[in-house]
This record gives sequence, structure tokens and C-alpha cells, in this order.
Amino acid sequence: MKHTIHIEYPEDFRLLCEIFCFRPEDVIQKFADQVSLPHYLGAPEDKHRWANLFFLDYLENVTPQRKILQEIDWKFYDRMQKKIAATKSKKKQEEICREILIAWNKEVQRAMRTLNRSQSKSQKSRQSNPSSANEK
Amino acid sequence: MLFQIIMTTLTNKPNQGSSLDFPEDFRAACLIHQLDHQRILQHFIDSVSFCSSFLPTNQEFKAIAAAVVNHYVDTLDDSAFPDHTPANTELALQFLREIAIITQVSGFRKTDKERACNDVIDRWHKAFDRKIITSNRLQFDDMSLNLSRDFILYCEVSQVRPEAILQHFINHISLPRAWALIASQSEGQGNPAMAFFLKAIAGKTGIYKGQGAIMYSAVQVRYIEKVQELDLRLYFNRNVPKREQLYRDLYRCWYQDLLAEQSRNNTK
Repeated sequence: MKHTIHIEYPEDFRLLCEIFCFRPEDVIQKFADQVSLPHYLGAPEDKHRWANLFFLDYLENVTPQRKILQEIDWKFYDRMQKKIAATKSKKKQEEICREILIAWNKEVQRAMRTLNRSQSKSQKSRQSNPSSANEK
Repeated sequence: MLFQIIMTTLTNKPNQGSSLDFPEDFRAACLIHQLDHQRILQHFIDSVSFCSSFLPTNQEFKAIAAAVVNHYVDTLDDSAFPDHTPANTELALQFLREIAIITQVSGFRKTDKERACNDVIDRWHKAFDRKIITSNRLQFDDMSLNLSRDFILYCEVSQVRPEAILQHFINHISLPRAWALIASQSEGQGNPAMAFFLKAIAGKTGIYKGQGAIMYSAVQVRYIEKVQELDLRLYFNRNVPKREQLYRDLYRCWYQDLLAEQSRNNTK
């Protein structure tokens, strides 16, 4: 799946890329290639684990709204852990984890739609009845 | 025997064999965060504050230190307080009433309320018929601690010996346990001792004041990175025993490596 993205290169990142003759897009592509929860859970000591740790750090520190969906996250993570423990082959572990990730994503998208619907409903009711909102 | 009891009462020297016990978790936490035992215990004693329990304060750690004492007292059953004299109980109620009135009065600045509250505690401290503590110093074989006014008052009101509170504090310091629980609850809720320790090591209580910048050895840096990595690895993991085991293994290695580093430095 290819996407065009627009990002700003901060000076330090740009300088490093220039010094070492890297194309910034290659570095970012490599990062994206290495983010894999199924692979990370099966091999947490892998020497190329850093992209996953960056992702988890981002998750922990940059996305507070994610807390709303924590129950879903935990449910699927527990399911993944159990499957990993019950499966010996690394390859099979990754396949199963990937299937769980797809189900996890579906449930999150469903929850987000419900959340957005209820938010826009309450926004509409506030707009149509501003006095009741002020009373509160 | 009688002589020993009298001496214990007069000097606050703990009974023989009742000196403080420092479990590995406490020793490791202190060494890792470059705090010696005496320093953290003295800091805890000095932080216990009556006022902070009644008046909102910017120094939250003082209220937490007081909560450690209350947490310990809550673990005791009523039979532990056989000698509570009616006079002291009446005195406590009288002064607590005064403090409660001060906290309720409107139109006063916070600092004025604090000053008034402190005056009441001063009078209370002087009026109290001391049963538990007769010296302001607690002497152990290898350390000596100064007992603050508020700490003494807490001991007297609660009828508990200071070393029992300190042991309670020590027993509740565990980094592996704290990090294992951090995903499932706020550590401060169930364990004020650890909440106090965490605030101290985060530099929010002033314990490192006056000390130059902390120098991290290569061993320290390596383990700081490892703990940070483990935090992230366990981001989704809510299995407390599993989390505790993983943190414990890591902290134990860290502690052992620091001890080895210390002994290498001592032999140089």
C-alpha cells in the first residue's frame, strides 16, 4: 500500500541524513518496515526492535485519547499473549498475531465510529439548545 | 529486664534485636537512586506534617508522609492501644477541634492558616504527656535519627513506637512491585510509603538539594535504558505477577552489578 505523505524534516534529522548520505524517505520507510507487533512479541530482544519501542513510547506519551479504547487493547493483547504461549513456531506465531491485529483494528474502528457518532450527537444537541448547556 | 525497659524509654534506643531490618528491595532502591538509608529515613521523618493533612498544600509529599503513619496505624487492631490515657485523648480532641476551625475559617490566606495551624501543633506538642518518646533522638547501632516535632506527635497520638513506623516504611519500598502495579492502579492509593519514595527520587521533595548533579556510571546508564525498555515492552501487559517477576529480575541484576562496581571502586 503506497501513500504520499507530507512531513517536515527538522534540521537535525535533515543534517544527519545529509552527513551520512541517506535519503530521508528511505530512513522513514525502514522505520515503517520494522514496526511489527507480531514480530516484536515473538522476539522482544531482536536487534532491530527499536522502531517498535519508538512506536510504544509514542503510544504511551503522545496519545492520551487512546485511554478510552484501553479495554479493547488489553483484550486483544491478552489474546495475542495466549496464542503466542500456545504456539511454538515463530512463523505461525506471527501469522496468528497478524490475524488478531486485523480483528483488533476492526473493533477499534467500530468503537471509534460509535464514539464519533455520540460526540456529534451531543454537539448538535448543545447547538440546538444552548441555554441548557449554559445552565450546566 | 526492668533496667533495659527504662533505658529504652529514656533514650528511645530500640530493644536489642529490634533494630531496623533492611530487605533487599529497600537496599536496592536506595543504592540505585544514590540515597543512603539514614538520609531517606530522616527525610521521611522530617516530611511528616500534621498541617498538610488538614490544609491543602503545594508540598503534597508532606501529606503523603503523614499518610504513611496513618497507613501503619490502620494495620493495627484496637488492642494495640491499651494505654491511651483519657487526658491525652481529650487533649488530642481539643487541639484537633482547633485545627478544624482554622481550616474552615474563610477570608484568611493559606500561609496565615498554616501559621495558625502550626501554633496549635506547637502548643499540643508541649502539652502532651509523652508516653512513647522521651528523647528527640532515635539511636541505632549504625545510625542516629532526629525525631521531628510532628513525627513525635504522630507517634504519641497513635501510640506507636517510631521504629515500628520506620520499619513499615522500609518494608513497603519495592521498585519491582511499584512498576508491576503501575498499569493497574495508582501506587499512591495503596502504598503511601512507595508514593513518598517515588516523589523523592523524582526530585519533588528536595532530598537531592545541595547535592551536585547526579553522576551516572556506565552500569547505571545501561540499566536505566533496560528499565525504560521493559516499561515499553510491558505497555499492554496487565499480568501483575508476571510484570513483577520481570522487573524483579532486572532490578536484582542492577543491584548486584552496582554492588560489584562499588567493591571494585573500594579496592582501587
